[in-house]
Amino acid sequence: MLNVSNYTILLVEDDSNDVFLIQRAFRKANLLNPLQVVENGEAAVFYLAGKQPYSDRDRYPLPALILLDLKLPRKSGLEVLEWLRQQPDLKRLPVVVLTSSEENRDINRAYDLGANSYLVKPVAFEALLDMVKTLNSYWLIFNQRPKLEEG
Amino acid sequence: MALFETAQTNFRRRLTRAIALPFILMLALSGILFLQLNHLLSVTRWVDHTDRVIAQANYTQRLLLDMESGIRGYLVTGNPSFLAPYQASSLLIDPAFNDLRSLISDNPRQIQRLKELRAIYEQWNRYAPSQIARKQRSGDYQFSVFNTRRHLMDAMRVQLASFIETEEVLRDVRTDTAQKTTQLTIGSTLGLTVGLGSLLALFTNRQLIAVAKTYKHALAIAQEQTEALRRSAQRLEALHQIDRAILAAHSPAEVVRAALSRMQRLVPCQQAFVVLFHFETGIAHVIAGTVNGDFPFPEGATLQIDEFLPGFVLGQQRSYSVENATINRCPPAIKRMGEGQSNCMTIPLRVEENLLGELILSATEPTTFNPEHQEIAREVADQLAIAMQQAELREQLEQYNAQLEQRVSDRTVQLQEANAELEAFAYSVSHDLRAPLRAMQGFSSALLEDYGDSFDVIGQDYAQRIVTAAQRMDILIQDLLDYSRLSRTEIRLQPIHLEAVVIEVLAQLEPEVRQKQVQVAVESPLPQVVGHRTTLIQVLTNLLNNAMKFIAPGVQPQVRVWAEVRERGEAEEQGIVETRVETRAIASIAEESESHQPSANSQLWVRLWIEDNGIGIAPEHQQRIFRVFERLHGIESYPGTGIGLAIVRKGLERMGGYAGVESQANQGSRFWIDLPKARDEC
Repeated sequence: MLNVSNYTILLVEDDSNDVFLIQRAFRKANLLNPLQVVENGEAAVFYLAGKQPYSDRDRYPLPALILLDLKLPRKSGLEVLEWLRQQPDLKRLPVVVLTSSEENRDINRAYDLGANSYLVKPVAFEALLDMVKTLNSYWLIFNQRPKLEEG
Repeated sequence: MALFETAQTNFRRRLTRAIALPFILMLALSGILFLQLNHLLSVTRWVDHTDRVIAQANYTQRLLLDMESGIRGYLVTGNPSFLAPYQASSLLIDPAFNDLRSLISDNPRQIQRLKELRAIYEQWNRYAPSQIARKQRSGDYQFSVFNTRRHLMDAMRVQLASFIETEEVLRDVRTDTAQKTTQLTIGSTLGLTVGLGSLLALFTNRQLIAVAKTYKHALAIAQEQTEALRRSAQRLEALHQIDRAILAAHSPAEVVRAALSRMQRLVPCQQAFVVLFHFETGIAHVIAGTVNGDFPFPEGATLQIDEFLPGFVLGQQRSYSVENATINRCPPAIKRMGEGQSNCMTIPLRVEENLLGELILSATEPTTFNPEHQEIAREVADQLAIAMQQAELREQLEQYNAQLEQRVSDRTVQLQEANAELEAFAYSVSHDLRAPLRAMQGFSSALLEDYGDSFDVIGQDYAQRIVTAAQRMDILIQDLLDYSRLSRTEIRLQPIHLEAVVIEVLAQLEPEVRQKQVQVAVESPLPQVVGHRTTLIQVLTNLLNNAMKFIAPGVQPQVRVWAEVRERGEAEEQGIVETRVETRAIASIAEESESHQPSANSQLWVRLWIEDNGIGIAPEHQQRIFRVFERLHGIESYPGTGIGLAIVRKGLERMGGYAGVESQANQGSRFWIDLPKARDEC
């Protein structure tokens, strides 16, 4: 079995409180995966495309999972998702939408654009902790990863 | 028509006379002829009679002569064969005398003469047997007797001759009479025939002339009437066409042009146009016209009303009409039209008592407008007046309509904007309002976890309170979003298995059911309803949640769910139900009768009951509980946001249904919802 704790997770989240709480939840859940954080949609695209300032793939490796907020500055989560699914080398990356909206149109739109899962950020920290644990076991341990390159 | 009937009666009478009189005259002529012929016949008969008398007399004389010559022959010769004529004739002589006697019975002189003759004959004949016997006996005859007899014979001859002569005279007289009578008859017949013929000819001629005259008269009347009818039909047709043209035309000018061009086929005029008056401004407005040659007032031209209504005083509605007037009496506007015009006719366009304008005709012919033309013009003017007013009303209506449509579209835009704002607001609430909550909740949890030891009990309580408040706020936001989503999302109604929905909701509530040890009894089967599945689930979740929640401490919750099919009464439709709380609120009657409730008249409804053994609701609170944020209890005793029943109400409103409650304080509650029953085939 591969060491899943090496897999990088990319968190696209503009709210520093949320970032802090998610990081804390990761710590509390004893997850050692590197958690890369970008604070807006454009930065997420640059990161994934390997553009400056994220061109160093050693420092900024391609993630095994993207946690994507929808309401982001500069470029929304849905725009990031749409762009991602059009990239031949990246389109199979698993994306879990992690946002506060329970609106149907957000949920449906996200799935239409190819989200793999849709989670609503819980208010209670305990719930968030549960969610992070589940995320880890489902997406990093049990889930089979796709090959990113064509073919 | 009466005139024609009179002519017809007259005609018939004359014709009858013309036939009857010749018939009567012919009858009279025949009578006269009959009488004359009868007379002629009787005269001729007498001539005939005389002839027969003469013949009989001659016959008698011949018999006498035969007898005489027979006897004489015998007496001279002694040969008995000479006696044969005597014997034969003596047998015939008596009948002969008798016949003669009967023939002359009407003539006394001849009777006398015949008597004498017969006396002589008897004397003569008395000697015959003795002479014959003597001859037989002695072979000779007595000459004296012979001589006597010869004298007697002569006497008889004379007597007969005079008899015959008398008869012949009589015959001549009678023949003469017959001839005269014949001549008279022929003459009178001819005369009468000629006279009567001429009379008849004259009479018939006169009668025929009279009949012909009557006929001609009747024909003329009929022709006149037919012509009148034709003209009337033509007029009607023209008016009908004008009507149609008015109906087909859209603008007042089109209406006027169409009507006038048709009218001009019936009324000879060179210029025809319509002006409308605006009495407020004193201006006359030329709508349209059909004109020949130069015309000083084009369509749309404006003139002073004075030009048409001389002496018009501002604001005072006056009208006058001029029909078949010479140019001097025409309104100034017509006079201004130039030299050519010699006649005019102005007819007011009037609807009820309102003068709208005038129809103006002018002609160059000196005598143009006869009463019929005037009548046609008046009829056209009447129709035009109505059409003008209708056009005006239509214009107004269209204007109102446009205004209304504008207002509707404005409102729609406003509504759309409001909706978009609501959407944006809800979106923002959904995304942004919860972020600080998560921070409050998350950091106070972190505080408690990481630094709880450094807090005293009060500090820990504060931090805990922050956690709880944030959670409550989150639930509140979620419920509000749920509620607002009910209004924002479009729902499509379809048949739903009520039972499946109830079972699904109970499955969702299973943790609570288990935790509170609720006894739930669902009375199967539940019918199908028309509704929206997701909304119905939301509604039922809230209702069942309520039923389990508002329970007095220490009481085991018992929930009973059942349904009944019923017809909604009229009182219920109008929302007048004394103990029940009708919560249909804004859902209007009109909306009710819309597509989602087909055949609303005979619509069967399903009422689903949810009964609990909870704390109940006092009647005075029953209206309030369905409103947003309405709570009857402190958050500590019965937690909740006060939105659940508002969701129930709004949900049923969206589905075209109703909700209500029957309850008394401390006696449990029976909530109900009404939804249309789905048809069996669904």
